[in-house]
Amino acid sequence: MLSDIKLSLLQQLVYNASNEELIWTKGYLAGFLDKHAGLLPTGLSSEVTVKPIIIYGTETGNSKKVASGLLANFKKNKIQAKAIDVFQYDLAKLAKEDIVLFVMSTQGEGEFPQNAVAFYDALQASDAHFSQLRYAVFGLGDSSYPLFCNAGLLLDELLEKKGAVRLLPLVKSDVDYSESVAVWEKDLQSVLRNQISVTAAPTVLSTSVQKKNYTGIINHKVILNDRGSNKETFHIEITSDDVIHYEPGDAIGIIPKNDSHIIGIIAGYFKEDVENNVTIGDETNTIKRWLSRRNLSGLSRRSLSQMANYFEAEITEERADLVDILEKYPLADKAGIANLIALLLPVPPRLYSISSAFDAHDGQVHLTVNLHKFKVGNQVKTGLASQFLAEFPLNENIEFYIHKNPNFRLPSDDTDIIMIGPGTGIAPFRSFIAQRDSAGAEGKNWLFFGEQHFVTDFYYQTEIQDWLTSGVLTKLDVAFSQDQNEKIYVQNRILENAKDFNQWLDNGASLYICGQKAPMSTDVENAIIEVISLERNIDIGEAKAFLEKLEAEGRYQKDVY
Amino acid sequence: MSEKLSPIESIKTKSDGLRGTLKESLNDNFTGNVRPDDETLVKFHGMYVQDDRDRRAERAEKKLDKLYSFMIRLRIPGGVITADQWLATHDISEDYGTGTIKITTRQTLQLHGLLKHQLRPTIQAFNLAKLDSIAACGDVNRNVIASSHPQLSPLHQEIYDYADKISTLLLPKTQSYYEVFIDGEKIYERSSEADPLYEDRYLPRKFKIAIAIPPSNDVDVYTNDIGLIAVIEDDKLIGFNIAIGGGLATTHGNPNTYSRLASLIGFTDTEEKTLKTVYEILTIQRDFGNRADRKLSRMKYTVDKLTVEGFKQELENRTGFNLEPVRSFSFTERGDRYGWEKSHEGKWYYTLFIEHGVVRPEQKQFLFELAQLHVSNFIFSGNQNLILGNIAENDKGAVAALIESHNIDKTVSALRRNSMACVALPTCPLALAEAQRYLPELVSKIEPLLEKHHLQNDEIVIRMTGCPNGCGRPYVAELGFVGTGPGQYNFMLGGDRYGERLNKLYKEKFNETQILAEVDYLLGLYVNKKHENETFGDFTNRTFFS
Repeated sequence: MLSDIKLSLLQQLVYNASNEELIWTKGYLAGFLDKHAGLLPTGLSSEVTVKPIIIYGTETGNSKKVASGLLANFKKNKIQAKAIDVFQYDLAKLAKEDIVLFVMSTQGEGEFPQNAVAFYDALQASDAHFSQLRYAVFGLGDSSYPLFCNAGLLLDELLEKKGAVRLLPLVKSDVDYSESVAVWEKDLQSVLRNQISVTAAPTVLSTSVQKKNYTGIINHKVILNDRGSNKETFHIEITSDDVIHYEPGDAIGIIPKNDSHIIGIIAGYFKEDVENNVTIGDETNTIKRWLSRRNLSGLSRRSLSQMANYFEAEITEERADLVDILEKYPLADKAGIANLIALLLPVPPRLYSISSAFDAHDGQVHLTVNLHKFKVGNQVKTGLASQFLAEFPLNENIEFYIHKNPNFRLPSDDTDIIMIGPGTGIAPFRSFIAQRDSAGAEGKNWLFFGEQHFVTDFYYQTEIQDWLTSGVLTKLDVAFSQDQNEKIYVQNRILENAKDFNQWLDNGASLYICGQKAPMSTDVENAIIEVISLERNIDIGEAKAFLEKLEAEGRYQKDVY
Repeated sequence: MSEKLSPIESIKTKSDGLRGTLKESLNDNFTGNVRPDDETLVKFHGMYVQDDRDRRAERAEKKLDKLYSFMIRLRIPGGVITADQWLATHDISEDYGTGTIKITTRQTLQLHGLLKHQLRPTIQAFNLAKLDSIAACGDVNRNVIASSHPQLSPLHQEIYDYADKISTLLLPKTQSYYEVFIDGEKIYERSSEADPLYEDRYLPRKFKIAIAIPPSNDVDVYTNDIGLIAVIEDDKLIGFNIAIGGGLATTHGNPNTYSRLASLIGFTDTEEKTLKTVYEILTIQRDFGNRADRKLSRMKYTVDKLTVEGFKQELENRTGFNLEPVRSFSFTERGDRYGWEKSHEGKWYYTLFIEHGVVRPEQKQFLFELAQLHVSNFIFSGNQNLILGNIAENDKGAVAALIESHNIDKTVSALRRNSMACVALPTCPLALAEAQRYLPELVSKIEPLLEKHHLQNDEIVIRMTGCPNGCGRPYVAELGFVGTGPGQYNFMLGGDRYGERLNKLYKEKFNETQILAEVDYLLGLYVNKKHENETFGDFTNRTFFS
């Protein structure tokens, strides 16, 4: 009767429970059945009469995608459901809802998507009674990051605290979430059909496939920009004795280490030597080793407030590097370096789109990495991961894993593709084109590329020329923003090519965008909507819907960051 | 004509009036170059595509194409522009290219390092200033040059006007320059472009015309396909001596190539006859010139093929009149006269030394401010120097003050004043060795040797080119250096001071150490063994080659 997962959960509970707990549980179940008598199945009917609401909180669109898929399948199974962005949901209604299914993604250091923060805060503050509400939470996250699926977890716990009834245990799904979604859907349907709620403890249902770690070496590295450029974009080639399985569209994950200079400075504030041993929990390491893998930069408000006790003055920054905090605020007497290390989260991995194709580049992994430079006040800082890669010595071991990106894939060989990849956004498209070249794919390929200057910033120019000559690249449009008085970007080129662009879509072309999320991907998307609207003589709303349809069909895929 | 035509010939004839696929080339977004055939055609519009050879390897590693850029050369017959035109050139050079303005040995200006997408705006801006680059390169008549010191002759203006008349007479008729680079649309009917001079073949090779006003041979008149030497009697211009078949370019290892000074063939007394003669010399070269081997296609080879006498007869057949006998004249100088000089009309001229024609930043700033005064014109000499000309007595003070405040009037050694070099590395595709970047350094190393032998005031003419094509006219220098490979030069000796005798190969493939040791030896020999008033060039010619 119970699904495998539920059975195993129950077994887990039962086998690990003490006598007292078992007796309590028995009573709880009896009480629950009394209380919710009305919900008990009337016979073995397969009719679902409840109307669940799917509320999703999304940052990159994955949660929305899960919610839409769920909704579609519900409809197929004659379950009347609705889906809504948490941003648009009125909290006042929640206590009166029957069944709510949350699909919630997690950002950065275990944070809610921006659109969901207000909802969570309001729910926390609410004094409404939610005992009528039955719910389930599907969390999305990336197990490479600390506080995996934390937003989902917080929401799940809070709803329980507020008296709502958990229908299914929290699901923590990893980046490759499709399998978890399928399982959750199956469980949901059976739960809804039987209208039974299972109030089990929130046990982690991990569907994360263990990520395989590889060791390789960087055997070649070159800055693609010529002298005089404002940019420093590295082309990096990694080889390994292992066979690295990846597909065009995949990324690699790298966990950078902090450089010893900064570690030395931090240790200095505590008058410690970096070689001194520090024990935290039952692990003893040198300070150098501890700090090399702890995140020291861009600490969030939450991390900073946890450290408050160890500083003399109140930290007012919203986000700051540890070394800047140490410089600005005097340490409290009781502060030891171990206190601080214990509070620091591990360095999160950084993902880089692979710019090679396994078949075309002898199984190597190529990356196209922009050395991230940004200004904080008057200081120019560099991104930890890009700096780490830029400075990583040749021919020394580097560890990485392959991050599958099932939502950024080449279509069938005979389908045309339009690739929009300014800046380092060109990375996966170098992989795409190289793959199609080596496979002899018949589909036409159109690339949009842009950067600042033609002379210094035309990434992979000679390869692109070869592809144009051989014909694998059908059409190229480039935009160099700073080569003329008026700024020209890829979206301008899309508009200039409106007719062809629409024609390609008409012919079934798949559309890809990779690169900066803001403002690039928004501007590009608006240009595409404008082109669709213009060329099809439909209004902007309809054009948007058309693009959304392409997205739902998997013909419009984005990899933006 | 059994020989197979050079591939360049069919590019010309198929070019639809020098249009080719230039418009498409300008729009190709994947390369900074133009298409291969268009590389030939763009020259006729005054541009060369070049790539920075110093940067090839590094850019290849970065998966970047060669660093293509364009040199644009203006057509300035006689080498005179207004202050406003200088200001326009200044502004254009600030907006596009490397920022350096270069004065060439043919009295015009070049800008380097223009990117393909900057060509149209550059040419459009020049057009607004009434400057163009039509036929500045390519197999056509190039910029017509003329002796540049108006203060030397009251007839200067009258003679100088011939430069413009000849240039206009020999312009290609096609309007493609405007169509491709200015209007963007084809607005001219092909029928109006019929070109009886160039037809659709143009000339077999480049063509150079110079006008010399004795006593100065600052234009190196004998190195041109046509040299016109003004004949002045009783302060009147009575006509021109005509010389044909000059040209310096040779090819290393090709014994069929040679330098040749122009041969005097006669005299014409009226403007009509002079222009007619010039025109028909071109038609003979058009019809008889070698179109199979571009290394043997300059008119000097045509003249020797037909013989000077045979060429002259063909010319007289075509013009319908006979040339008169050559009138007497003499050259007594070739260099520029630096500093202040006053003309016969009472106007002032100031000649500024510009080493190898490369206007240095401080000079550029000075000239920019000077041009804003609008009190002078700008004259480019065949020695790559700059004359601020036609300055009224009242304005001289202001110019002098500006020269003073910019500390422009610097004395340099006589050898440096008389030095000349071509562009060579890194941009010239023909260069085998350094020239413009290196000669100043070599001169600095020779200067102590001159002092050692007390020759620092001797006006010895030194010239260097990066290859044997002779753009810096090294074959008519007293000390000539012709690049053969990196750091290696053929050492040429025995040319005279005024450009009337070619020098000869003295030592092959010398490096700097060898050059300096040899120069030291030669200067010592010269000081000890020279006849009275004998120039260095005459001395070495007598000592080593006669």
